[in-house]
Amino acid sequence: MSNHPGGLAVAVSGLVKRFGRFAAVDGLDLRVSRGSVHGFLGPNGAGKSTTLRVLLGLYRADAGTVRVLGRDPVTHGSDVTVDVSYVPAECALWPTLTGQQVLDALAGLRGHYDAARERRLVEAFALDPHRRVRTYSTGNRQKVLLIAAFAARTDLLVLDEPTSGLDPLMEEVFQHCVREAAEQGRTVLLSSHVLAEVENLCSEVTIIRSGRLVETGALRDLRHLAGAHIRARLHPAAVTDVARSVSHAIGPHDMRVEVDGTLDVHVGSAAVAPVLRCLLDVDAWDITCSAVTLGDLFLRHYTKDPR
Amino acid sequence: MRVFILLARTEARSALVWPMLLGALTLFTAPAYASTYASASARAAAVQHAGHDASTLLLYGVLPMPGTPAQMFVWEIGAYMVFLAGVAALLAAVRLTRGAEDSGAVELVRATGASAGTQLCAVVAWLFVVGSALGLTTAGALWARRASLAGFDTAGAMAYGATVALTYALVGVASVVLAQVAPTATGARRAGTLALAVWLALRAWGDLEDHPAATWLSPLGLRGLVRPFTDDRLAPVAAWLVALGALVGLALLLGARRDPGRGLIRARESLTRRLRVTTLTAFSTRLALTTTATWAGAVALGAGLFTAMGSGVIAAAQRGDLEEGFLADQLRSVDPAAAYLGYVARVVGVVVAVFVVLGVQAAAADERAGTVEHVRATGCSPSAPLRGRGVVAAGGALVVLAVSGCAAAVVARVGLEVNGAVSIAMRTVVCQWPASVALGGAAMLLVGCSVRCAPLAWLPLGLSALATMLGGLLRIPEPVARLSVFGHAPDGWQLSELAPSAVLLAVGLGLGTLGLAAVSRRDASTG
Repeated sequence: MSNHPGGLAVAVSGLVKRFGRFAAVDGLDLRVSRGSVHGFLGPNGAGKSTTLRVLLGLYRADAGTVRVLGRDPVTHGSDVTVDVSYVPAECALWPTLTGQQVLDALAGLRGHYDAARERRLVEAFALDPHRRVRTYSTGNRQKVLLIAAFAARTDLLVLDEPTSGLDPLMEEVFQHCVREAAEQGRTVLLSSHVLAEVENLCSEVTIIRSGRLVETGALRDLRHLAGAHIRARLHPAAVTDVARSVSHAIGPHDMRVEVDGTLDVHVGSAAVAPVLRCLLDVDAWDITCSAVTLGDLFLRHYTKDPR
Repeated sequence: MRVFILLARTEARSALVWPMLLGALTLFTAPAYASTYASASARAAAVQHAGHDASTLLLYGVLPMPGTPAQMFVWEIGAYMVFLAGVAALLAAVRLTRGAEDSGAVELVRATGASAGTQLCAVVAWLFVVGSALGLTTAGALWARRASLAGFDTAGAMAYGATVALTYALVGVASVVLAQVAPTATGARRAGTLALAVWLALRAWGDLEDHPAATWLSPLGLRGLVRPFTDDRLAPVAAWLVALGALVGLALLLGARRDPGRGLIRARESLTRRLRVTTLTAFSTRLALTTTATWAGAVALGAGLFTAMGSGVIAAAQRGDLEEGFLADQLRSVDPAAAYLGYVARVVGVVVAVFVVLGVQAAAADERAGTVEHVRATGCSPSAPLRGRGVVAAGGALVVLAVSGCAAAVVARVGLEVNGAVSIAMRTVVCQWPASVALGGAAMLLVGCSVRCAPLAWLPLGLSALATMLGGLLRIPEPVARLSVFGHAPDGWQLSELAPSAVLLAVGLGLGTLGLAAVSRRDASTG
């Protein structure tokens, strides 16, 4: 692995990519720190795969600046991609070759790979590499690409929905490989719809919608800013008063009171303490307060997307 | 029915290509037969000669008496037309069966509740529709030229149309049967090609040795059995219709006994051989190895056969018996032997150019399939995939031409008593390479500009082939015909004679370089 100066593996600023009149990516900013595992989220058609292809120089940006490992992927395409492992969402391979021959070809073309690591990965992913690709299931084809990506001596892994065809056992293996890559100092940019996977693996996330940035930062900070989810049981007589007090504190939204007196409320971090105090004052019981999940964060931006 | 409608919607555009092509071929070549012979006696002499000449019997079959222009058209152009219809049927049948299974389209259709039988019935029905369109177009084109085609009658035109349609349907359904058995789509195509070669050989043998049974066994012999514009026999049509029904039944029977994506014969799916490649050109070579070897074998076989058929034609041309017509036009030279070998070389050149265009278009297919993304992500330049496919196509063409040249040279030395036959055969065949390179370069430029433009690469090839093969019959002006890339093989090794080849090579390299520059300046096409 080569050393590249600077603290960012990926630095994208004001990226615009149009197909005809349709802007797939519209002024996107994306920053991925070196050595991090960065989740890249967005609903279908948000522009994630397009952005990743721009990072690899497969697409040319219409506007904005793009730097991958400190270089422009258009003017230094080969220099960039030789240090990047890429697993695309569509895993079409050469049907007449065996899995091992595909691994050999991709490693040979790149010029450097870790043969011992490849053997370990083939075993870990339980792949029969001697069968022809045309006999492989989608999951097995995905395994071939994942093995090639992790076995390559690269600085950055760009993974576009890499586990959509894997079973839960192989998903575990995948997560182990990502953690191992991060421990080795490699950067992972992971686009995925499996929010639990992103939550488990990623220290940073970027959420995009309609080709634009919605939210980005460390997952811990985003969760903190997003606040918490509070649930409690109330005496039926106190429901109206509590609902009024809580509404007063957090506004009229994100609060639901069931007929059996269960209060369900999503509050910002600043409102957590007042709401809890209010609940304690009226002797509420079964009080739970949990940090918002990535799913909550995601869905908050998800529902209004027309694309 | 809904599966058939879906098929019709997705295939409508591609189904138009072959009827239009064969219709145009009929429309433009039929009038040429009006002026082939100056007098009835000359015509009778030519017919008499054709009946006893082995080479014309092998190539075209028996020319019925009295050899009217309509009969001559069916005899000569008809021979090529039914063969082309067979090739079209084979390609369509495999694409719609095993090709669609490999792409996953069949899975989607089957998931809607359609059975394997329904799917196959829809494909067979579609082949019938396209075959009927072919028959109607060719019969219609002949009818449009009835004024300039002595011996024409409506019944003959209908018999000829029915022959073309039924040949297409028979070869198509037979290919569907083979597609149920073959382990892969490629295997099905190879089996279909072999079957076509066997049918062609059976037809030729039947005509040469006067074995009607052999002709009856070959769908390509139907034309000779129906005898359009002579007898317009319906019995062979009826008999082959029964055979067609039996083939459809067999296809359904076999189709019900296999899983989608797999033939009744299982392929060897497990291999331990490793792949040592470090460049994309080496990788492209490995991917194209089997295909190139198959093409080399098939084209060499064809070149050898064509050369072997030449003795009679050369002798006839030397005697001055060939006055007009397709072959006479091809052999118009002071040295008929060299002219015949040049004709064989041009046929080989056209076929090898098809190989080259397909080879370059594989780069577009790679982009659409998404495999280009994998190789680009290993540090390869944007132009490397196209360059790799282009180099391998050009190199493969040279190999195919060299092997075919050797085959033609060996056969010419053994079978043709012509001075310098080996040298002429090798030179004329191998020197078709610059034409392939020029067309390959044009294909690279088109793919480089956009994968959508890739099919346009057939245009220069088709026009060049038309000008070279049918330029005389179509009365194409000489300066226009000279633009064809296939007519520039040198007559010797002098520098001045090599100039056109050098120009073609330069054009090919130039266009290819422009294509590489263009592909580096555009987005990769994905999906």
